[in-house]
Amino acid sequence: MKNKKEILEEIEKEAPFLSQIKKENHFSTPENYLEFLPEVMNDKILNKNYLSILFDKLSYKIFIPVSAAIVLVFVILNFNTENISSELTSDQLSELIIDDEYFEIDDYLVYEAYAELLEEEENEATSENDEYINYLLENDIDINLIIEEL
Amino acid sequence: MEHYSDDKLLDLFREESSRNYAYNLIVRKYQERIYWHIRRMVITHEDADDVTQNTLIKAWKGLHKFKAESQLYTWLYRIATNESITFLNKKKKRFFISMNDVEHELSQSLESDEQYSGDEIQLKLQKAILTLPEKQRLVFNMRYYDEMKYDDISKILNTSVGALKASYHHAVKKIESYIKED
Repeated sequence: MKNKKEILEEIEKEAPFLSQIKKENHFSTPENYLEFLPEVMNDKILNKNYLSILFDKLSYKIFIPVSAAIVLVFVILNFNTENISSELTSDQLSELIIDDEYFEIDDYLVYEAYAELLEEEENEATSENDEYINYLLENDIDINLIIEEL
Repeated sequence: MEHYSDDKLLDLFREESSRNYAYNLIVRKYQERIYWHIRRMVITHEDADDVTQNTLIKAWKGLHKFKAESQLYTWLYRIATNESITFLNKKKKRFFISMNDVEHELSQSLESDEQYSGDEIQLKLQKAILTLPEKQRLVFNMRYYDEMKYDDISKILNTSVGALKASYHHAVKKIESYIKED
C-alpha cells in the first residue's frame, strides 16, 4: 500500500499529465485463456517427461541395436567391395595389368586369378577325356584291344 | 484452489509424488502476472502466449535447482524478462530490422490488435511506452503497472536501485512529453 502511494506521488510530481490518465488494462486475451493455461502447461510438461523417458528407454531397446546394425551393414558393405575386386576374371585382370590401370593388386588376387585359369584348363581337359571314354563305351570298344594294336 | 505459501509450494515440488500438483499451483498463482508482464513487452497475444509458455517450461526445468535465496515471483519475473528480450532480439534478427523498427512494428500491431480496446489517449500512452529503450520500458512497466518495489526490480534486472530510479525518471519524462504533443 505504501509502495502504491509512493508510486502515485512520484508520477504526480514528475508527470502531472500522465498522472491524470487512468491506469487501466485495455489488452484482452481469448476467452478463458488463463483458465486453461495450467492444463496446457501440464500437458506440455507431461509430454516432455514422457518423451524424455521414451528416449531413455528407446536408447536401450532401439537406438543401440540400430546403431550396431548400421555398423554391421557398413562392415559388410566394405567386405563386399573387396569381394567385387577379387572377382575380376583373369582376362580382365590381364587387361588391367597391361593397361597399367590396376594398382591395387595383391599376391592373393594374382594367385586366385591364376588358380581360376588353371581350373578352366583342367576342366577343358577332363571334358575331352570324358568324351573319348563315352565314345568307347557307346561303341562297345575294348580299350585293351586298341592298346594291343598299338 | 488451495493457497499455499511459496515455501510450501517449493516443498511440494521437491517431493516427486506431488511435483506436478505443485507446479500446477505455481502456474495458477503466477501465470497472470507473468503473462501481463510479457504481453506489455511483446504486445500481441500470440507472441505473449508463446513467450509465457516458454517461460513456464523453463521454470519447470529450473525449479528443482531454485534456492529460496530470492523470492519465487522475482525469479519467475527474471525468466519472463529474459524470454521477452530474447524473443524481441530474435524478431529483430529474423527480419533484419533494427530495434527501433521492432518498436515501430509493435506500435502498428497495437493499432491493429483486435484484443486491444483502449481509447485514443490510452493508445497514445502505449505508443509512448513503445518509444522507450527496452530496459527503460521494462523498468517503467514493472514500476508503473506492476507497482513493484525498486528492490524487487533491482533483483530481476540485476541493476542498482539508483540506476533504476534514474531510468524510471527518464522514462516518465519521455512519456509525459510524448503524450503532451499535439
